[in-house]
Amino acid sequence: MPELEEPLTVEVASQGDEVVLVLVGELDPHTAPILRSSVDDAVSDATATLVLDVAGLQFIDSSGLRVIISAHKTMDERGGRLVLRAPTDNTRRLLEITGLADHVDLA
Amino acid sequence: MTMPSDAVDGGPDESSDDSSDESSEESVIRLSIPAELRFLRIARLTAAGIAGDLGFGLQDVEDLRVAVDEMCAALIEDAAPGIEFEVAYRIGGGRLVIEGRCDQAGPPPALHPVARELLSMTSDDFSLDGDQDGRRFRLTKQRSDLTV
Repeated sequence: MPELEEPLTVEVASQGDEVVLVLVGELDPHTAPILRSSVDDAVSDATATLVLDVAGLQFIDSSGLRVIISAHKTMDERGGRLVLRAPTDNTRRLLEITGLADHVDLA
Repeated sequence: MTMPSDAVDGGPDESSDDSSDESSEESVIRLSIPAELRFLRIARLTAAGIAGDLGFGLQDVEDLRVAVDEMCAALIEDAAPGIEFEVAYRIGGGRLVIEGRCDQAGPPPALHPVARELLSMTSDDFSLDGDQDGRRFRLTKQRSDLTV
């Protein structure tokens, strides 16, 4: 069977103590490990702010939300913060349904 | 939460509490795909396409994508290699009933609380179970503009 096109890409940019991950595509149980490993690789002790740019995220489910929760905990334990940048209306709605919107910074 | 074991393979489920006058007008679209997480997208794209054709609003369609994804993921997340996964999309009476099954024996893993929360907010009804004959789910989504 031919390979399907990769449904999620994560581009990383760092500037000073801020790390930005730009997500494009769909975040589900198949692709959530991609984001999880990207966060693990990108965040260091020097990271004060982790920004997830989710403007290009066309789909997210509970597995994706759980990666975000995990990233939030990681940053919290390090004394840093997690920012979700430019969520779509649908992403924002799911963040609100689960109460996650009350715990992460939305920009 | 239970459902008849022939819910996907059989015809309209007349033994179900959901049986109604619309059952005679029901149409069924069936999808059979490998029980692998990378194919979840196919199941939710199909649901979105059908719902769009039925006149579901944008929010309903987005909710349905999430609900179908969560149900399918729960059903197949630990499925053995080579197992097929069947989804039946039942159309009728301004609603979409989606039933899934795979031959993985035993109960499915418990839904994560986040998944359960999303399902409760994005669907009208859902159930998930399994036994030695396989695993099944049933999901109902009504057009919100038809809800009284």
